[in-house]
Amino acid sequence: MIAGKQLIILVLDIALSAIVIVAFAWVVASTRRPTAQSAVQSGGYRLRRSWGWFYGVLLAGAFTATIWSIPYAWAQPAQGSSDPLVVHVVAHQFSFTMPQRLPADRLIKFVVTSSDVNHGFGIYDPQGRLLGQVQAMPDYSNVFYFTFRQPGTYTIRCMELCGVGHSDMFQKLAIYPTQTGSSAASLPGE
Amino acid sequence: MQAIAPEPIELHGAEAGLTPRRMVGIGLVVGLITIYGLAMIGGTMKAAQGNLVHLAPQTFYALLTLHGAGMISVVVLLTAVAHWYFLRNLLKLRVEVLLFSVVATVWGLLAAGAAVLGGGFGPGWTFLYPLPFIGTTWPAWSTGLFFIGVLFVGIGFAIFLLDILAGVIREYGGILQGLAFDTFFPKLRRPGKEVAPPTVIAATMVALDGLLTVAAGTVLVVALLARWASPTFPIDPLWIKNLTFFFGHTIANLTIYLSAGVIYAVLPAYTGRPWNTNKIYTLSWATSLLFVPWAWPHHLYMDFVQAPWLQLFGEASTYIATIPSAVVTIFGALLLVYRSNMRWRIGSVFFMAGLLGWLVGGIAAMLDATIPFNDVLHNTLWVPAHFHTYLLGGVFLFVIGFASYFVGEKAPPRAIVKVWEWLFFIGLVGFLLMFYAGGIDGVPRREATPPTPGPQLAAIATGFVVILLLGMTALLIEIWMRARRHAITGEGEGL
Amino acid sequence: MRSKPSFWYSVLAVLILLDVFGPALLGAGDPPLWLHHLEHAFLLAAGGGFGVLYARRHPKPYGDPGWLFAVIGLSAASLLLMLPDVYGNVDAFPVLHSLLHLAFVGIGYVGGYTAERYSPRSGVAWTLIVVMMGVITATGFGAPGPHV
Ligand code: HEM
Ligand SMILES: [Cu+2]
Ligand SMILES: [Cu+2]
Repeated sequence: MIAGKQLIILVLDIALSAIVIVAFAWVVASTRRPTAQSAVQSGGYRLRRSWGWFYGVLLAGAFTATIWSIPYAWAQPAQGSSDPLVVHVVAHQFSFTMPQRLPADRLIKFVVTSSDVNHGFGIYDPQGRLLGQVQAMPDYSNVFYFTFRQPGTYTIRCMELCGVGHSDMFQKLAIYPTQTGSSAASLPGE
Repeated sequence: MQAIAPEPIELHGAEAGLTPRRMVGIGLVVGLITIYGLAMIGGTMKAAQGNLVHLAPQTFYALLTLHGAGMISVVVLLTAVAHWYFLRNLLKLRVEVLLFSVVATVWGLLAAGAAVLGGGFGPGWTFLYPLPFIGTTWPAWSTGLFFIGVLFVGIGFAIFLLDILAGVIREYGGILQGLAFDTFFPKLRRPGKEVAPPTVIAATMVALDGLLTVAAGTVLVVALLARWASPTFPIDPLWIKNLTFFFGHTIANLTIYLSAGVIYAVLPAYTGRPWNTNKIYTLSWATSLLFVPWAWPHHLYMDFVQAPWLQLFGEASTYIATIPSAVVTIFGALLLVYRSNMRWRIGSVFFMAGLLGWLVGGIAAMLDATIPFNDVLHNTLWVPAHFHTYLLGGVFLFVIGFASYFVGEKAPPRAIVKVWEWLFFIGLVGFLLMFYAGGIDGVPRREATPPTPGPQLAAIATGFVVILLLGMTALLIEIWMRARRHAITGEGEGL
Repeated sequence: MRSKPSFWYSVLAVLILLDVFGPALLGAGDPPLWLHHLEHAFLLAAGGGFGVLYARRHPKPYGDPGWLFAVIGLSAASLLLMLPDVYGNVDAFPVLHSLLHLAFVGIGYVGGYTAERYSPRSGVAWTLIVVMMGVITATGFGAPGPHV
């Protein structure tokens, strides 16, 4: 059920937390055999130095790794050139003005804004997994590139508290398969 | 130039019967009672999300706003009071000033509470413009009253911070010495003065970043009040969102740094080992000072129009800001405890557990602050999951630990206390796990009626909240009874 | 000893007078919004500088907490000047606007003085905070969003 990015995140979180918990348990257990501070301090300082370097390199690595996979249009110039389908989305209290059906396997350029307060625009796949999101801010248009990989009934959900009706602010989005060569695509589940 | 000689200070408050100890005690009692009420509200929200009780959406969002704004303010108040307790002797601080800032904060909280409970003000504790003004279900007076309340909380905090800054300069001769730069440049040091202890370094950093935060918060609230007074007042939504999170993120974050000042003072007492300043501490706190105020853009990753350099710099700053905590403060605490003759009391147990919560919450926070992960975590329950881990499971534990230390705990606790601790921690962990589960399942935060599996998880979490609250009640009663006993026997702080 | 402060006094005074009355006399319009915010910050800071310099002549720098409460109260009260109903009405008349700018200097002066009386260098700290607020307002206070 948990897949994709969520799975990576979960595994990383559990693994890193487990390491930390074990370290704490070990330190706590060590207080059963106390000794003088001078006996542990220099070793501790050495360990701190190694740990500091390791951690610094880890962070630098993580930072470098992530800047290659950020979702912003300016970071992915290739997408601008591949003739996307432009879809305008206007969020309101408490609904979205946008198409009800969109093609699968086609790069879509969502241009997302709001007519009143801040809203969110989250895309959930037919199994209910969150695939990505962008904010809908009044006065601004956020450009969000997205490709629906599978046909089916997706859910668009508001991701920012926007008033009393926030929880009701979601709607279905039908993604129909694109057959190469045929223009009249059929829509599953309609 | 004429040296600014520290002058003898008489504590007027002491004459008037308000001893520093009593003042801190009052702060603790007021803060903990408020937290208690707000935690009940938290439990009620969970129960509502789990369909165990019914709340109208407007009520839910009003309670959410009160819980968030109240908790942040109270935790700032409590950590500030605890930190002050150790600073007062080092910096010769005056008790009246603390009294004033506690009173201002309490007035602010009362105003905000009246706006929420009386008017139903409910745009969340971040009150992101323009939600306080558009499509509202609450009267305009409650909007204005809430912002005035926030202003009062800010005034209380500013007074506290200015006094600490003044104390640092008086005592150590300047801000650089307060940050212990004399470890690098011994010439800076005042003749006859020792290098500032870590508690003071933490205070200096918090004072500087805190005043910057309050300055930003003031501009924010004044802009909102201006919009409230004249609806044509123009506001740029992206600008104010940046300002909102600059203020909101930093103020919540600073409670950790206030707590660090307390940890530096308390752990030596439990371990019997001194915690000294050296160059690493200087560097580490200078890093925090510089990078903590730049972490806010991680709240705007999903605003794709935000300037690219801010997004990347925000991610880098968030990462860098974790280094001092992970490599110096928490590591230093573990090193201090390692093979020490640690006396296990309620205080020491809660401080250690709090350090763990700080770290585990920090890991989840860093995953969320990583741009390619943020697009599936932003505004999901992952967010309250991680910040409850280091606020409820970190800062709040430090507060309980401090209360126990403050009351005095020479003798080991009664055997039954183990049971209360287990109840508390089982409740805590279960409650947090349900948040994480919801987050990884993509359930959005701040939902009066969340989509599946939100309600199921919330119903289970409510059970854990009950367990948590039982343990917490028992522990606080235990500490309170100890305080009464010690008031009679005259036993004071510490071990 | 004496010549140094009075030199700074004079420099500050000239700068302030130029800034406050120059535009009105020249008949120049308001500068861009962000610059105007910085101008206010400058005026407050200049007043604060005066206050600090003056307070330093007092033999006993460390005062009563009353000074601290006064400086916070004053800062809070002066926020009213930022409200559009106050500022907008004044803005329409160049002379009033100049006088308001003079009021900023006054607020700065009292703030710097009181804070410095509270504790050494608190006046400097207060002045820097006020400048910081000015810089923060200059990033967009009172400016509309892009597509209104
Ligand atoms: C037993 C203790 C607590 C319970 C049961 C509890 C419960 C909750 C719940 C259910 C939410 C709403 C989450 C959502 O759906 O978005 C929430 C939000 C929040 N909580 Fe807690 N909480 C507790 C303690 C704390 C503490 C100790 C703090 C801070 C020190 C805190 C700070 C917050 C904040 C800032 C929010 C966000 C409010 C908003 O979204 O505007 N909570 N809490
Ligand atoms: Cu919405
Ligand atoms: Cu002006």
